[in-house]
Amino acid sequence: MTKYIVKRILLMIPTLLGVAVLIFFLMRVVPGDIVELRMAGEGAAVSQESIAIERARLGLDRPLWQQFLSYMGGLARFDLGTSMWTGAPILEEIKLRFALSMQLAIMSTIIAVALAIPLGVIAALKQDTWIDYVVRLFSIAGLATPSFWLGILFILVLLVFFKWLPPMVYTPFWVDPWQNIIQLIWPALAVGYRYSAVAMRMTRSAMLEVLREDYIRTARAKGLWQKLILTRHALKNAMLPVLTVVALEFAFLMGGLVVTEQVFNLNGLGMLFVESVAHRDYTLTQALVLLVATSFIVVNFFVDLAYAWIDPRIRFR
Amino acid sequence: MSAPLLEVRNLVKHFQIGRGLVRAVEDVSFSIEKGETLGLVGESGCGKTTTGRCILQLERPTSGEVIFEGRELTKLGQRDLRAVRRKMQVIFQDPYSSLNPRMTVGQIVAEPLSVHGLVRGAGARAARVKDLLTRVGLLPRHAQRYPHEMSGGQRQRVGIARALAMEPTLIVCDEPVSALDVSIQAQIINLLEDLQAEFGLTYLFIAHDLAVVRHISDRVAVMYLGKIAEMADRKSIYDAPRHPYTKALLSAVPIPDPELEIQRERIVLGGEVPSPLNPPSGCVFHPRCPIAIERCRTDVPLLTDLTPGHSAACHLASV
Amino acid sequence: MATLETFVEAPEATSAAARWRRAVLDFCKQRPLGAIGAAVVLLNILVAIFANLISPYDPLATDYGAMLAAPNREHWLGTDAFGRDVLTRILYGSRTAMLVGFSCAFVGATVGAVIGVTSAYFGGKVDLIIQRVMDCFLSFPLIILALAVVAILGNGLENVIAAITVPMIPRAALVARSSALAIREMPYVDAARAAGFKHGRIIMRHMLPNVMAPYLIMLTAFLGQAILLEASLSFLGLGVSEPTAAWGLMLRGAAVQFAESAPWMAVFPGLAISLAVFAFNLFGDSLRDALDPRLRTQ
Repeated sequence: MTKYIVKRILLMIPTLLGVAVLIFFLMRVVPGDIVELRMAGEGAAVSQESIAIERARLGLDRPLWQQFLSYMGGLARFDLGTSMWTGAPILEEIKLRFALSMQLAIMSTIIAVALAIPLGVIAALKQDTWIDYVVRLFSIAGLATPSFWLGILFILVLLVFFKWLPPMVYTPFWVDPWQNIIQLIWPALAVGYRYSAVAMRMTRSAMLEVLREDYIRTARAKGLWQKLILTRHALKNAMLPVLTVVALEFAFLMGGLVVTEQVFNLNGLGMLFVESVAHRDYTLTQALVLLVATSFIVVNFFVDLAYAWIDPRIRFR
Repeated sequence: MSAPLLEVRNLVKHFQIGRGLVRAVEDVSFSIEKGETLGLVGESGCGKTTTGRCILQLERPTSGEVIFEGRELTKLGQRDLRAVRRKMQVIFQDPYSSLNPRMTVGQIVAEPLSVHGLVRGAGARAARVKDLLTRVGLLPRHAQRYPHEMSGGQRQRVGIARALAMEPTLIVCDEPVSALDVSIQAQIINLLEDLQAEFGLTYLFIAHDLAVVRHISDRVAVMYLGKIAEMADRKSIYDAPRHPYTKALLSAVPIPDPELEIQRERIVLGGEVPSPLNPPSGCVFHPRCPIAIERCRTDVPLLTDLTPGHSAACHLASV
Repeated sequence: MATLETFVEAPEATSAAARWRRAVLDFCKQRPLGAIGAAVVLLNILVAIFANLISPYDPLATDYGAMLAAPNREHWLGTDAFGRDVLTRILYGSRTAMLVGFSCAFVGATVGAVIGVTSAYFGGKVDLIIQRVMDCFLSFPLIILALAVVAILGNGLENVIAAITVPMIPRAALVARSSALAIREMPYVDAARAAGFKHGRIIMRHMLPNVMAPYLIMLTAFLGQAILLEASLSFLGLGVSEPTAAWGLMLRGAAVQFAESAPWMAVFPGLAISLAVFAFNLFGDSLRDALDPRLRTQ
C-alpha cells in the first residue's frame, strides 16, 4: 500500500508543477500589455509614465525567466502576490472568504449525498416502477438546470410566497448558527441538487449491478432479511463508483459555487474569482486558478487512495 | 545461385512485461529463396507470429538482422522503410478485424494503389481493383460492399487482393486459414498457390497445423518456445522427422483412414508448454521430451545440419 | 474465377440511405424519450435559424412605455427593464445558444479526438507527454478554465466560443484516447503500417473513423455542457455582452432586483436553458444506449 501511495505522489508532482507553469504562461499570453489594458480599460487616459511605474511595481519589466523564478519561489513560500485591484496581499483576500466558501462546499456535498444515495437506492430497488421514473427524471432535470437559475427561483419563491429574503450579511457559523444556516441553505440546495444528479444515477446503476450479482442472490436465498442484505452487502460494493462520481463532480462543485455566490451576493471565493476576471486582476486570477487546480489534484489524490484502500485489487496493478 | 530473397540472421525479440522478460524469439535464423514457400509451424505462443512481425518490422527486433532483397531492414529509417514495405506484404489471421470496417472493399484495395502511385487516375484504379477482385475469386460488384457484409472467406480474399495490389515479392501469411471453415480453407490455400505460380510470389506461411502447411510449403521450419527445432524440405519433414517435437506434432495429425488411425502409435507429450517468461534451461523442449537425457537439461542444442537442407536442434538427432 | 463460395453469399447489401432511414425509425420506436429529445433539439435549431421570421418584435428594440410589463396580449412573455419583448429575446437567444453550443462542441470534440487518437497511435514517450499535458488541463473545472481564458481574451462572442472550447479539448482527448488504444491493436491498423502508409493517413483514415461511436456520444454531451457554460458566463457578465440576446444574459439583468416585480424575466430564460440542455442530454443518453449498451453506466 505504501508503494502505491508513493507512486501516486510521484505522479502528482509533475501535474502540480505543470499546472503552475501553465498558469504562469497563461497569464502572460494576454494579447497587449496587461497593465495598459487594466489601466486604460477603466476608461481613463493613462500616461506612458504611470504604465511604466505600474509595470515596475508588479515586476513585469524583468526578463521572463526571472519572473518565473520569483513566481515559483513565491509559491514555495505560499506567497501568492498582491492583488492588482485592491493592492492587498492575495493570501489575505483568500483567508477572508475561505470560511464561507468552504462551508458552502461542505453543505452542498452533504445535501448532494443525502439526496443521491437514498434516492438512487430506492430507484434501483423499485426499478421500472413509477418511483424509478420519477427519480430518473429528477436527476436528469438536475443535470439540465443551471444552478444559478435554481437559486434565482428560490429567491423568487421566497419573496413572492413568504415575503422573505435570506440575510445579506454573512455571519459565521460559530457566531450565530441559525442566521448562518438560513443564509447558506439556499445556495447549498441549488448547488447540491445538481451535484446530486450525477451521483444519483451512478448510485442507481451501481446498485442495480450489485443487486444482480450472485452473492446477493445467495444472501436472499439464505433467507436474510432484505434490509440487512441491502446495507451490508449491496451498498458497500456500490459505494466505489459513487465515490468516484462524488469526487469527480467535486470539480463541478467549485464551478457551481462561482455562479451561485453571485446570485446570492455572497462574498466568497467564487465571487472573488469573478471579480478578478471582471477587473482583469491578473495576479489574483492567477492565484485563484492555481488554488482551484491544486485542490482538485489533491482531492483526486485522496480519492485514489481511498479507492485503493477499499478495493485491494487496484493496489496490485 | 542468386542471393535469397529473405534472410533472417540470429533474430531475437524480447518483450518487457512488468518485471518479466518474455523471450518470444530466441536466435532464429533461416532464409527463403525467391519463388519458394517456407512453412513456419508451431504451437500457440512459440513465437512464429512474432517472427513474422519482426520480419515486417511491425515490431523492431531486439537484435539480429533481417535482410530483404539485399537490404538490412532493421537499419532503415521510416522513409526508406516505407518504400521497401511495398514489396513485402502480409495476410492476417482474423478476417473479421483485418479490414477497416469503415471502408468499402473497393476503397481498401484501391488505397495502396493511390498511396504508392502505382496506378494514376480514379478510373484506372477502379479498373485495377476490379481486376484484382476477380483474380482472388470475388465479383467486381463486391467493391461496393463493406467488410461486415461479407463472409469470412470472402474477407480473406479481400485481404489477399489488398496485399496483391502492391505487387509484392514476399507475402507473410500469418495463419491465413486458421479462422476459416475447413471447406473454405482448401479454397484459400489453392488460391494462394495459383497466385504464387502466376506472379512468382514468395511466401512465409505461418501456421499451427502441420497438415495445412503440407500442401503449400516447399520447406518447413518447426518452432518451439522461440527457437527453431527442425527445418527441412517438405518430404523430409513429413516422412523422416528427426526432432522429437516434430515427431510428436506429426503424430497428432489424424490420418483420414480410420483403421490406420487406430493402429498407429501416438506420441503424447506430457506437461504443458512452459511460459516464455521462464524458459527451461538447456534444450527448451527437455521437460516434455520423451527421449531427454541429462545433457539436454544443461546444454543448449544448436541447429545443425544433419543432411544438406535438413537441420535439427537436438543432441540425439544425429543418432 | 468464381468459386462455389461466391454464390453462397452474405446478406445482400442495402443502400446507405435505406440503412439510415431504418436506423432512425428503430431509434424512435425503441427509445421514445431520446426521440423526443431529438425533436426538441431540432426545434431549437429551427427556431435559431428562423428567429427573424417568427419573432413578433426586434430583439433590440426598446420600448420605454412598456417596461416590465407582465405577460399580456402584445407581449406573450412580458417585457424586460428596457421594454424589450421577452419572447423575442428568447427566440433569438436560441441563436446564440445553438451557435455557441455547436461551434464549441464540434471544434472541441474534433480537436480533442485528433489529439487523443494521435497520442494512442504513437504510444510510448509521445503518449506519455501528451497525457501529462492533458492531465494538467483537466485539473481545472470547466468554468474555471473558461473564465481564465475570458480573463485573457476579454468577453464577446468569439472569445466566449474560444473560452468554452479550450476546456473541452482535453476531455475529448481522454475519451478518444481510450477508444483508440483498442483500435491500435487491430490487424487493419497493422496492415496499414505494413503497407507503408504515413502516420497521418493511418490516424485520419483508419483510426479516427473507427472511434465514431464515442465521438458522437461526446459531441452530444458537450453540446449540453456548452450551452450551460455559455449561459453561466453570460450570467456573470463575462460572456456575450449586451445588447445581444442570450438566455444567461437575460437572467443577469433579472437577478434579485426585479425578482418580485417581474418574475417572468427570471422564469422564462431559465426555462429555455433547462429545456434545451435537457433535450440534448436525453438525446445523448439514448444515443449512447443505442450505440453501445456497454457504456451504459448511468
